[in-house]
Amino acid sequence: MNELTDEQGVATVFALALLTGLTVVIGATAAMAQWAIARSQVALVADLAAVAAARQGACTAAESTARAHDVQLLECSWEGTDVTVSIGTHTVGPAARWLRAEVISAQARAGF
Amino acid sequence: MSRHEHAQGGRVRNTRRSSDDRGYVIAESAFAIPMVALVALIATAMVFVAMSILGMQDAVHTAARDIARGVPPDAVRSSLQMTHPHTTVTVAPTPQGVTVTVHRDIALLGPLLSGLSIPVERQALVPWETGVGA
Repeated sequence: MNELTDEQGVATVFALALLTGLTVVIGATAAMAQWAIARSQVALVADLAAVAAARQGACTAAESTARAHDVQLLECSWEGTDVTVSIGTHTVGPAARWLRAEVISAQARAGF
Repeated sequence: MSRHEHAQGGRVRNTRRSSDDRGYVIAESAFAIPMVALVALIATAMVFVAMSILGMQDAVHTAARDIARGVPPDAVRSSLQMTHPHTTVTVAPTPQGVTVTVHRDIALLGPLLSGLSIPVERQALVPWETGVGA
């Protein structure tokens, strides 16, 4: 047996392992990016919905703002002149499943 | 010619690399390194695109909010284009509110590969504030 020829392919095996790892990293990065963008969008819409409700003095403004952005108004409650709005949306993708966050929700508060 | 020392069965012995092995690591690395570099480049591009989308998303909501408060659309448009160059800003006022759409071709690797880009569009609709309207 020529033990020295066993070294052949070491770099290939190493490269394959490295590529597999990097591909997983790419997949995870893409999934996390998708989730982060969706999360940011929901948070921004929650802000807009809360401000709209506070300015117009009605939860219908929050509801129409949420609907215009394809998200759902989950809760709208008043405390004096302050309004707290919760909105949510279903999301898809592996990151949402890993994080057990198929429903992304955000809360915002506004008043005048 | 390299020399390896192998510890086997408690004794140390020297082995000599055969001439058949010469160049394997270099040849395999020549394949592996570009592949790894490519994967790293793709990951970098994805992070760059995601960050650009987040920035655009934030900007379009702020712009829509400003217009709904009564700030002139032209001022908002020029301010947005100053902070986010190469964007197309569309302002569509309706009786219910204002819809601002921002469109931009995001270069995947910034200035490195400006020809390779993907179109991204973000939109925000904000109801008019009291006393402001179309």
